[in-house]
Amino acid sequence: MDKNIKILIVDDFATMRKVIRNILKQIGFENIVEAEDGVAALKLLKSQKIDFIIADWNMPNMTGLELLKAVRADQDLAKTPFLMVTAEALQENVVAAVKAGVSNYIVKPFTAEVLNEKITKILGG
Amino acid sequence: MLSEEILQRVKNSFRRSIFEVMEKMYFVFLEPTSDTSNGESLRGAEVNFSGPWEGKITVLFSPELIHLMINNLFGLEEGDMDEKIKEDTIKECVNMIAGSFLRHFEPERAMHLSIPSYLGLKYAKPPQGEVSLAMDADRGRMYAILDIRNVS
Repeated sequence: MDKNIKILIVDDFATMRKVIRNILKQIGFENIVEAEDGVAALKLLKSQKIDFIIADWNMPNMTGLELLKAVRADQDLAKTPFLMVTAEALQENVVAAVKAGVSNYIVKPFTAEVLNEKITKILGG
Repeated sequence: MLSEEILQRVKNSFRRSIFEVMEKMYFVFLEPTSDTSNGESLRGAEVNFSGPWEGKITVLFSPELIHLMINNLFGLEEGDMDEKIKEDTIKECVNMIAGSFLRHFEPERAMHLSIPSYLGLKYAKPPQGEVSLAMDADRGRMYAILDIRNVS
């Protein structure tokens, strides 16, 4: 698994972005950028090459699901792996995310092991 | 009005969610207490949920517990914790408790969670709800209040 990929963390809470960033660093990923919502994330995605997106579901302005749909609808971004972070993981929400093309999802609270496992699974490492 | 059976299921799911989030995310281990005579200023957040069930979850934390959670999460000492990190930590914690509660209580039907609202130093004493829990940690205390009604 290539640990040099650029990962985008999208979450409206700075603390959760920091938690995920810390875990990613523990796992060995150093190339990390952050956005505080889907709108800021889309701007970033248009301006630099991002290899992997980790986004919260429940955000103001643009939800994680709306961001996922926007990414999948953009031919330049459509193939970017997308890991959804959710506090809910309710069956119907998961189905909506799968239909929209999510690569995988992770339920908060989670451990470093689980996040690593999900990323490894998506990247096929 | 909830039936006794449903109320018990609500209480069990709510308690389980609080313990799960606090232990897994913040490494805080809680003990239920019946003492609610907390004279401290409490900070908290609330989240509304809607769907086949609707209601509100409010969680209030004593200053010591907030410091413990942030210290466990980021290794920060009290003097290095600004208001923003305290607010974010509280809101995210309540968001996770609410999400976890819905997952345990009603996993198969779509529910919507609102964006958490911060309650600042609003409470000197916790309010009461359909389910009201008080819990002590090694340092500090938290109160969790749940109001719920069936709309389906």
